[in-house]
Amino acid sequence: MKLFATVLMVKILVKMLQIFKSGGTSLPGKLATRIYPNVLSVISRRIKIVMVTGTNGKTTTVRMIAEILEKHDFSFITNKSGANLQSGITTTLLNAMKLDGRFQEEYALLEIDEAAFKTVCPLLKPDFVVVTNFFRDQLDRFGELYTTLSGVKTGIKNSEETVLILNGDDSFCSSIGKDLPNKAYYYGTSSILSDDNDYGVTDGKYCIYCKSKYSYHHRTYGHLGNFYCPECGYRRPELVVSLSEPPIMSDTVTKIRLSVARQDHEQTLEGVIPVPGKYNVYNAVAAMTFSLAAGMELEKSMEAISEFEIGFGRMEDIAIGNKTLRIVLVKNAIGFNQVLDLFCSNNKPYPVAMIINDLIADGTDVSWLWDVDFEKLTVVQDSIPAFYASGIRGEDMMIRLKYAGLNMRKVSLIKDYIMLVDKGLKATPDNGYFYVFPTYTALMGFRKLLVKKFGIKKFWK
Amino acid sequence: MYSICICHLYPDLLNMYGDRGNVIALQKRCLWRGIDIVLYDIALYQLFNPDECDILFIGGGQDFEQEIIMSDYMEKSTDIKSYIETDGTVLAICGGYQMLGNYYKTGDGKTIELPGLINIETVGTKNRLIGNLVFEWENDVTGQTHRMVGFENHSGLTYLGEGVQPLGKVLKGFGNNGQDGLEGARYKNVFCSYAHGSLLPKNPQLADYIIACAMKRKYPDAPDLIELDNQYEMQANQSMIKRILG
Ligand SMILES: [Zn+2]
Repeated sequence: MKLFATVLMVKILVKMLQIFKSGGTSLPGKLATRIYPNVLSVISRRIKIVMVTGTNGKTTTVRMIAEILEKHDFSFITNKSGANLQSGITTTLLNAMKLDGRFQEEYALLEIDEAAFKTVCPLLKPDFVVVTNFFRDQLDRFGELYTTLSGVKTGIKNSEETVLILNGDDSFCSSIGKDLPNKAYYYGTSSILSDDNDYGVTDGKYCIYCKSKYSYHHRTYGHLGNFYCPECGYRRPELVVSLSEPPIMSDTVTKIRLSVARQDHEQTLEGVIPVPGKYNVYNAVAAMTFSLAAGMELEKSMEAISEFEIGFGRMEDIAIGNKTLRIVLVKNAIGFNQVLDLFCSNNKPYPVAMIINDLIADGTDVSWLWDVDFEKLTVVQDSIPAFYASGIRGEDMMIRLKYAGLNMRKVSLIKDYIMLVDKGLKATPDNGYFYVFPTYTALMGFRKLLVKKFGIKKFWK
Repeated sequence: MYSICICHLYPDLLNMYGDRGNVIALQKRCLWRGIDIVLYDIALYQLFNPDECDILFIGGGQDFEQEIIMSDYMEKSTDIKSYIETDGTVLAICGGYQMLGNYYKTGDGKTIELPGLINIETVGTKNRLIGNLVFEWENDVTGQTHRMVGFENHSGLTYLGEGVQPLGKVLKGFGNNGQDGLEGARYKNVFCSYAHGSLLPKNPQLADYIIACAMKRKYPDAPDLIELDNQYEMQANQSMIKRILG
């Protein structure tokens, strides 16, 4: 009865919020938790739950898994990436529940904020947990990396049935499988993606168990790679799914080859991810590993990934005349480094804008800009027509670029988005791209402007 | 040709909140003036040679990393002490600032003994002091005051002992402890602050003052530093002051 009333209330509230076009997703969940504090634990046994957490790549991995589920004709519920805290997840689940307390769908596929994981996971006791990676993120919000990691471990601790899908290349992620008795599938790379040193970011260099410095058979980026501790022997676990050859990347797609350890043989799979960027390779391998753990057909899953559409702002191409605006969200230093890598490896005469805000959703501290390797832009700057800094903290971005060694005659501060788009597109060669790297709230504002100015339809549902 | 050697202590362990930006700022502002830079990363178990150092930089770390360095740091502290006492220039930020003191008392009453390179003490609290910070710093050579901007994020409350001056007065934010209105510390040529952001790029007067200290010690007869164009730096500084102070 209590459940019935709570579900009904959530449904009514969601409807009302939709009518009043306030896209809020947290309020109904918040109220539901107030009335029925453990409501999530009731849900746990009524639907198969897949949770995806970690610092970077959550949204993209969820999108890829969604595509895989669809391909296999499974019905599912999923939350928006903006609703990945406890309240948002509660709203999503209760709104999907029928009034008799059952679900029509077979799966609930949930992206969850790594800080909220600790409280939500013990209630939901998910069937699968996918952990992408741990990187230094907004320290003013999450606190220290090690606190976040131990929160994730605490979250899983009392759910021994939960199957873990972990990034084996990440010594933080792997330690979850080592410290907990759960069944774990590890994924990673058996070939080198790059030899970046990400010199500004210093987390994860020392062994989490004995505090000695890790060595690597190969490193991909940040602290990711085939690590081992020469002191205590902690090392990357056996991988079940691994990238077996360096991926081949173009402007728009990435070709990958995977090796899957089956009981009695090694299976090879080839596929195409419809986006560039090596960080997306990890996301695809994570999604493939989930499909293996869930007993799905791998060929079908690979096909599904090749058809997926990348999420909001993760990389959006917007055609304007014969030029393309390419928007890529930046959230933290490692992510920004990856995006810059992608931009530099193009080595084409495309302009680029960095829009930095410091509102709560962006992280109010912009110190992380100094951990980003903007110095690598100096290698390509001769062929780049223009660099732009924008956003509330555009001035900070300007000095970061100055101290990175850019020729400041090519760099300008343009706070007005309309002028920024005009100038940027003018500087873009025909059939070329104008790259825009916004932080979260900057992305929101920038998209709003595009909708207004160019009548681009809102394709974020 | 002048040459300045910057030593960065434990750069792969102590680098929170873009601390590296301070090193970049010192480095670039020397190079732009034609002062050569030698940059040494002082790693764990590597020798710190006080005779080779002109500016020592110490950033902050997470608890995990600070535990790793502690015994090595205590060993190095004798050399750092003699460097400080002979007017060596030091910039220490946040955790690096706290580490120079006499002790750190944790929230649960445990006392971590520190080498006492400067006479300060830090007490941990549960509530973190987080937010934008503006403080007023006086250049004691020119007598001018400047407004410094940064971002603080610490749970330790620091109190200055005898012989240690504050670096500045808090105009907005918490500073050392949120109580006495003081921010940072100055002892001889040691400069400490809770402000990252990074601190020096947006506060070029302080950056230059620190470089000048190092130059004066190494080249007593060298002429004053030439002025640089600080247009972008001051734009970033002013825009934050306007936003925070209104
Ligand atoms: Zn070890």
